[in-house]
Amino acid sequence: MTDGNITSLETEQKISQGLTEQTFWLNMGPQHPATHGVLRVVLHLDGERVVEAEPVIGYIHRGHERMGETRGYAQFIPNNSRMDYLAGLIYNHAYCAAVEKLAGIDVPPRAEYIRCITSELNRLASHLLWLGAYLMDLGAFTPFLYIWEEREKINDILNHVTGSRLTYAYNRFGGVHKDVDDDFISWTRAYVKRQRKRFKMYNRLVTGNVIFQNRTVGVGAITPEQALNYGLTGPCLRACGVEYDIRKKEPYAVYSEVDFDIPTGSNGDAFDRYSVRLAEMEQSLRIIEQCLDRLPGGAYINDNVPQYLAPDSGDVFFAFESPRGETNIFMVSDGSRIPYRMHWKTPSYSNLSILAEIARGQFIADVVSIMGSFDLVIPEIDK
Amino acid sequence: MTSLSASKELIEGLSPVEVHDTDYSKTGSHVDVTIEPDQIRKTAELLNARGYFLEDLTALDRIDYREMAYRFNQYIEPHRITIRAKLDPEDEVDTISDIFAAANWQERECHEFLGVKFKGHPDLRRLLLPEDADFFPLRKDFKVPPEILAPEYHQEDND
Amino acid sequence: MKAVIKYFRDIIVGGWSLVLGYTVTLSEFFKPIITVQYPRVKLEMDPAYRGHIELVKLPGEDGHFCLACGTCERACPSNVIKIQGVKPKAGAGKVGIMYLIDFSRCSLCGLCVDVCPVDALRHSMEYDLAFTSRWDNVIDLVARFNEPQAQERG
Repeated sequence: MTDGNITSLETEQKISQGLTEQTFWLNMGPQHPATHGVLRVVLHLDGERVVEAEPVIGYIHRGHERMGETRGYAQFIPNNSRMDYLAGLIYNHAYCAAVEKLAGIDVPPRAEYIRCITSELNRLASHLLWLGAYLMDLGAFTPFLYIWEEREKINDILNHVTGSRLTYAYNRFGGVHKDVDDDFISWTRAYVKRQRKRFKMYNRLVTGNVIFQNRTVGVGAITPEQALNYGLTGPCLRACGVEYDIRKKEPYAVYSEVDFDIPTGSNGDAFDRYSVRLAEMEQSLRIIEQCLDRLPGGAYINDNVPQYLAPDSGDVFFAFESPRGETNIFMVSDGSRIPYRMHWKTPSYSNLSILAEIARGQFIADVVSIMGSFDLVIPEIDK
Repeated sequence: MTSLSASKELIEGLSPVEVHDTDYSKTGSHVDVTIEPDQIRKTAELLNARGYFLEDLTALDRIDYREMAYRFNQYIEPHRITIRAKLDPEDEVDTISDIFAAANWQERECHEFLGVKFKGHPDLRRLLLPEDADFFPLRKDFKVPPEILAPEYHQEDND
Repeated sequence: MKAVIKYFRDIIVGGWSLVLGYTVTLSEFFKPIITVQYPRVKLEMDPAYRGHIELVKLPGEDGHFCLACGTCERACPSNVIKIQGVKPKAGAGKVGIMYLIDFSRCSLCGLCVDVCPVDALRHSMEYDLAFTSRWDNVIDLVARFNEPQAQERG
């Protein structure tokens, strides 16, 4: 199975002795530190080159869609954070926004701004964790421990507001659960100032590093046509050069009133995905600052929402931007207190399906780098 | 390319059964088209040629029939087209996984949760459920064990 | 010749990027330590933290407010709460005498606290509850309310 043009002396000797070479199957099993969740990739290998890679999922399937059909609308709120645990507040926000669209509930402006600020803090936390985990996959242990300091600060701020650190049930229909106080505002401003300095430090430590460049530049390049075909969204798509962000194209909450850019890459390789995410973190800081400046007073929740919500029969399709890409909620109601059908299409689902094509012909170490740069969170694939 | 007037001739080309222009702010999609199930491949080819990408592929169990819902959208300016098709419970529908590679896994998931058969799909194995599962969890006649139902649902069941 | 120049330039550029990285880690070496040696040193919890629920005891009042109406039991998504109440005498309201929660299934969502019509519930701040058997997770809030000292963390 060796390439016909490359014959070394050793290979010729082996062939002359009657030894043959063959491919083998390796299970990059469900328990693996580099797969970021319980993902199994069955690799068909020729030496160190991948002939074929097939992802096998379903090890953490918990049946959220069926749970959505057996619970009332308000009772499904805790489930959202468990789907994508790194972006729990964003999924919470989006679920409440989708149900508000279905039932026609208004949200006061203060609640919209608070939702935006907390969602962007959650996006920062998710990207920071991705940064640390990706670099650890590549062998750099130092940034992994540095990011935890920033994440602790975000977790402390969000703990002060919502009461939880990872799986939030903060949004309610018509607003948020608790109001924010001055402590939150001053801590967030101090955090934003500090984080900007830390970005300079990360750029010095990581971006120009020769080892990092050799492992990411040119690895796992995706063309825009492939991305279109596979339905890729999020930083993986923006690294290919397509400027598509739901916060700009179909704005929800108050994203249409704040000013931010959409960073894009040009080659679609792992280094571009890294740069796009770093630039997005900076844009998240801009959004947080602008929202804090404009935070209005007033009510933080709409009091006229019944506890047992029974929207009119119909369906709604809501798209929002999670840190990994575009997530879609499709909710069908039949007029009763229980949803008729709830379907969530998550971005890691499409992002992982392209792995089978991209990994062909790469080394195993490059497959690890590619999977890390996709920023997969397996529970949101398996729901 | 993106305005609604251009989509009118696109939609006529799909020979639909029913077309509505839906309110985007209420339902999230711009146009709702119902087609016959055997037109799905032609629809997918037409939309692919116009630069649309497949956003979502689901099925609903409406007890007497199955309803397929496909969503297509564009990158340049959002224009979401919802294509619905009504199937008899034992019907097969053509696969579109060779036109849109995104449909490959989505059709596998539809098949294993609802039992919808896709003709021509290269590989219709179980994706999320265990390999020996012989039930279809999202069908309405699938009985959920009572100890995992939330109390509110229990209450309605007992009335 | 170009290849030779490129070879040496790559070494210098690559080596310099590693040196820059070392300056960063060396400067971090002299910053104060942020790690807390838990459990020898415990951090103070934010009062807004949401632990499992407990019955509210107001300073001047004697009993708890739970009416055993069952609204929290119906609102819980995870089947956590089971309540029993009695009417102490005819014409009076119900009083909760047993309030069981299965703490291992609680997702700390706070829906029960939100819907209580008399605000009889609040979140506690307990976070390091560990038990040795699964059945220790079922705790009776009324018993905890009546004897807070005896029902320390378990």
